[in-house]
Amino acid sequence: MRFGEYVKKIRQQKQITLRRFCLEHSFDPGNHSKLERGILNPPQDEDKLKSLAYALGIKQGSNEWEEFFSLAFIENGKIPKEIMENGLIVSKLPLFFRTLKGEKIDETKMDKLIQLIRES
Amino acid sequence: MVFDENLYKAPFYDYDLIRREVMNFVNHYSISADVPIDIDYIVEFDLGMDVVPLNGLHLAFGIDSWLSKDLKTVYIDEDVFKRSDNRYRFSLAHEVGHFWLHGDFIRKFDFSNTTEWKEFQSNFPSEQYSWFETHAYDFAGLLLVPAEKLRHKFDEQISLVVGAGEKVEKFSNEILLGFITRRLGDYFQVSKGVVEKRIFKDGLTLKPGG
Repeated sequence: MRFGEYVKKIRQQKQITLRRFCLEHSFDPGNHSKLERGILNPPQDEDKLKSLAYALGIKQGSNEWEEFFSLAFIENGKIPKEIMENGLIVSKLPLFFRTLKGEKIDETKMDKLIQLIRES
Repeated sequence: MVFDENLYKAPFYDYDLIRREVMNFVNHYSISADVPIDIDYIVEFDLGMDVVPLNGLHLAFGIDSWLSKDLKTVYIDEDVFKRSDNRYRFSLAHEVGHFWLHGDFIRKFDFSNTTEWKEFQSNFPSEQYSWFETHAYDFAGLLLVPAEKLRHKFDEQISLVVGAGEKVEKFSNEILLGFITRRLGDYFQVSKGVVEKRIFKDGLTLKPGG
């Protein structure tokens, strides 16, 4: 299991949604979401890692604590996957967008949107 | 990919049919009737979707949210995620509407690259596109503002006005509606506009004959 998956698993075991978790612990939601999806590596800074562990309710010295830090250590030795495969991008594109006027977007914006998903 | 105009045709869903579909959805996932409806929880835990905040989505594209083609992820504007409870909740409910009402439609399409996706988007007739959006909008309103609770709270608010010694007839419809939609919007955690549409669609009247 990758670090991000582990973090998500612990959060969800506590029945806490991503939004509630980020708001309660003042985590940046964009970055935290990337972390859980393995797009961002775990923080290198130990204090930041500990803050995350505490926010997840992981007790120091527990098996969960050990696993949390082992996975972070292993993960930090890897290069994050910055560019998604074409097939995966396509699976994440919308058929409908929720816009204020309920309208479609133009082609220029479509290109930018693809870029945004690539980097998300 | 060959595009056939019929492929884009929106199914015919009137408001009552969507109302029944919302009930089916609620029963299927045993959604609690507690208000405000915990749509955040429903999306992540009942439907098992990821919610992914994207910075600048609204500013750059005018988009609040979308449901991914694989039906597994709701992308949402990060500012809405962080700062706007009502819009966040409504956006999620709207995407759940697409999931429940249009899942079969969405699954029909298989893009092998982004060019095919862009072609699909360009060919999508605006009129049909609007119908899909209307369905999801109505679904969201019905899900977040359940009929029975709406009627009960609506009557309660009217009684409050009357109980305060004011005759309902004394107020203009506009003032009364503004008062009620604000109170009910706070209760259901949706915008005043959503409440207003729900009141109208459920045929709740402010005054006798009004």
